[in-house]
Amino acid sequence: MKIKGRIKTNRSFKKKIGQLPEMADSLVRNRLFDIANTAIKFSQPFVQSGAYITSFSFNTAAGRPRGYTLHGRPVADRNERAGVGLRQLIDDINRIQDFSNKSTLYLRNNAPHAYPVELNYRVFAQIKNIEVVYG
Amino acid sequence: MASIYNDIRAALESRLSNISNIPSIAYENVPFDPVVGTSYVQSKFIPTLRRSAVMGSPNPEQRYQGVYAVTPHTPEKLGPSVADDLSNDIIESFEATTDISFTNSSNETIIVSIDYAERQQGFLDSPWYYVPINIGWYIYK
Repeated sequence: MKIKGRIKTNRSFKKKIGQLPEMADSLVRNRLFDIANTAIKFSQPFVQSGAYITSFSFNTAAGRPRGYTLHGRPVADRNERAGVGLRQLIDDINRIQDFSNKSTLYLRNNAPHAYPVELNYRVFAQIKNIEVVYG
Repeated sequence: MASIYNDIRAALESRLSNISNIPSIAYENVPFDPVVGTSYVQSKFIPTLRRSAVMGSPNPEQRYQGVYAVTPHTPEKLGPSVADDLSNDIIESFEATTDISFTNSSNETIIVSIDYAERQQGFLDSPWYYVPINIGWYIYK
């Protein structure tokens, strides 16, 4: 005995399936915006020259990460530098065209003093702590 | 109940201070003069999130979480083993899934859970060689 089943899909379902790549792209992009905000928020309280907070970048494997030295820089406006740092990260995210063929994205801070900053303020440790649960 | 932060800090700090053979601890905002040539451990309590654990309740249980940053400092030019051994002891005391109980002066007991404990590479900053350790903690209250 043969049993045949037929599944009929309607147009609305096909349309929703077609929207999946766009929805996935939007989810990833929003998550990256959250991470960018968190990185800037945790760095803002200790801004001095602004070199560190403007040295964050989102990269795929290629590309030269941002990195500014604090030497020779005057004391900066904390809010203004935070705005610049966030703007740069948003631009990085918006430059990424298609997430479907990107296996890894890196949040980097290539300031020469980034490691001592991490020791004192644990910016990346805090970002990771949040991502463990909400990532 | 924001005062729970005091108890969480106390739970973590007392766990650290009870590790056998732990050197002097430099707590936050407490005067501490490191003696060159003598190891010490720096401790920093970093809350990251306070979020409702449930929806719809007017007074919901909260999930608190954060990082307990511990940094063993050992004298330079001794090789990495002293710092490595100290780091191993600390990580083992805060191993993932460990529950740390603490009873405050009002006789309330809290249990802080450890999510992860991990170290980073050693770093030389004369006259110290140090190893950053990050301990992820959380509690529902």
